[in-house]
Amino acid sequence: MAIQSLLVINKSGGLIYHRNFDNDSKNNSLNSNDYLILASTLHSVFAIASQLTPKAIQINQNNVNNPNNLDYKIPYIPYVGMSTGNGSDNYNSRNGGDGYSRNDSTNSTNSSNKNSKLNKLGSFKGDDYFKEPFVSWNKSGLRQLSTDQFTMFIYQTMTGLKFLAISSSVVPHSQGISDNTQVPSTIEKSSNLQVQIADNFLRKVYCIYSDYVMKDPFYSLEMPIKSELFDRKVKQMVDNLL
Amino acid sequence: MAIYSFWIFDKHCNCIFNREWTLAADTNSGTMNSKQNEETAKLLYGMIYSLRSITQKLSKGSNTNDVRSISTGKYRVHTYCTASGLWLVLLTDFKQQSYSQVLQYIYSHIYVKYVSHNLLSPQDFADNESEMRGQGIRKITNKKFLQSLEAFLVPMINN
Amino acid sequence: MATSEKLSASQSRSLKITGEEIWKNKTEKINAELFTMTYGAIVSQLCTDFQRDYNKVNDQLFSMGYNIGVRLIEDFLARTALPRCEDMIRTSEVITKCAFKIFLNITPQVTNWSPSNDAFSLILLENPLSEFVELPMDATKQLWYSNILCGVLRGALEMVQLDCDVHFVSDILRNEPQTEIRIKLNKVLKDEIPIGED
Repeated sequence: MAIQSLLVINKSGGLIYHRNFDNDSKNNSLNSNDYLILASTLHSVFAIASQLTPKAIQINQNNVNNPNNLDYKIPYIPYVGMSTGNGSDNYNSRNGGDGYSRNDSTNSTNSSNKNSKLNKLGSFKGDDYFKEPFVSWNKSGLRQLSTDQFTMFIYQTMTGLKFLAISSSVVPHSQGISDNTQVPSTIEKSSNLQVQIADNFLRKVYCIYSDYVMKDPFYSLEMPIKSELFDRKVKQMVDNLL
Repeated sequence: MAIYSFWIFDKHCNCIFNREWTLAADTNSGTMNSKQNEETAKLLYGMIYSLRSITQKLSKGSNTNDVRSISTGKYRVHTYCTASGLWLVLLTDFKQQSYSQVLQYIYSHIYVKYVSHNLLSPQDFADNESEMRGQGIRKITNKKFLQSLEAFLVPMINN
Repeated sequence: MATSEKLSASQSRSLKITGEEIWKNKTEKINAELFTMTYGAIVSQLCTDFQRDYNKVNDQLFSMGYNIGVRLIEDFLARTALPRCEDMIRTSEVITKCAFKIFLNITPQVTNWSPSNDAFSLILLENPLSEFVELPMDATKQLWYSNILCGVLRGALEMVQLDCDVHFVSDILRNEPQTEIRIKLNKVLKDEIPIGED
């Protein structure tokens, strides 16, 4: 899943972080003002979406024994956005470009050397930010927007912060008339999986945010994020996702 | 319950048809072209309109990019927008990923057949200036249209 | 009745397990003496700066804690992804079994519930901030040494839309029988609850 852009929107609808990851310049026709407008529009559409819940669902919600009750649980998908196998090797080659060099050639395959792993995940020890399934906080707000060219995923935290990922992976839309019973289940599974991967990924971006932005004493709350460490970590995760 | 409601919007921002199903057990339940859904229609139109304009801003290249589906945690909205400014909108659950061929069928075999090709049915549902820009109230009431729509969609409701 | 009790017992056990698991495996540790001494240095410097006006020191500690709390809550939520608490009882369990465990490795007791279940007390049996501290005579009447904790709790709860009053009731450092913090819910900030949660 290739991520094209990442946006972070604060609880009042203001854009506090925006980054494009695809390097073609043809899409850079939007200036920063446009992105601000985009963020506030999405913030309000997000709210409208929760008001449009169909009556049928509202009626069924009160029926606790309904077997069709929606499940908001998101499974843990291992190592989304983490570098694979020989961790230090990939880590090195991807960090070469931004002047942050690590002379790890001597211990590149030494997994027992904890030092090189110490700073890998900030304050989260271990090889992944979290390892259990979790319940989504975003039950009736906007979650996914599929278009012909991209898919947008939204993850909202309990404090009202929204993380948006625009990915170039497209949900397949079957052409031609077909019987409803013949829609292959692989298409549904893959699109469900897409949303789950996105939620796992965005929760990890939230973990990175809670480290590099929240713990920076010089960062003022609700203001635009200007942390190079945050940028670097996020870029690393996006690269690992390719 | 797989399908919750079906809406048609025209190029004057008016909702010219809506049908909502509320009970899985009774496929005759729900409302059709009901006045109570005016608010909802406007919100739905606004949401799709905003997301379409965002999509167009974010699109690259000359290929037209259109919104296919919008999901929340509880339901999914499928849209099919024609070049003539007509929007067909379906609210469903998550079992099926794409309803685009369903919507295409409704457009080509039901709407075009019974509304566009019907010389006695209004093509443009806004009669005068005051009914453009979202204030129109005329709806599709053509019986054949309603019957074939029910016949086509009702079997899918309880998928 | 019995099933709901069983449910909450298993929920609180899973909170305990979550808290312990994160403390053991997921957080980096530092030397406890360094931590205690750093905090002590802060408090003593504040006392000097404010010329022993302990009320001002208390307020300053509280606002420092508030700034920490509004940021720490994001770390807590990113780490645990716990769902919203339905009532103050559940909130108190999450605070004591998860939050205090993860950040300070202590599990305070919850007591003194108000009749409407919107206020409770935390009894801290051990306090890593004040391990070796003895307050000077003039401070024992006025200074709340660990007041930063009250600020942290208030800031964190406010960010999850719970407007609470948090203050110390008693402190062992003041030669009182136990260390007790009182948390009282003023109101739930309904307008600020993010849209999309039910």
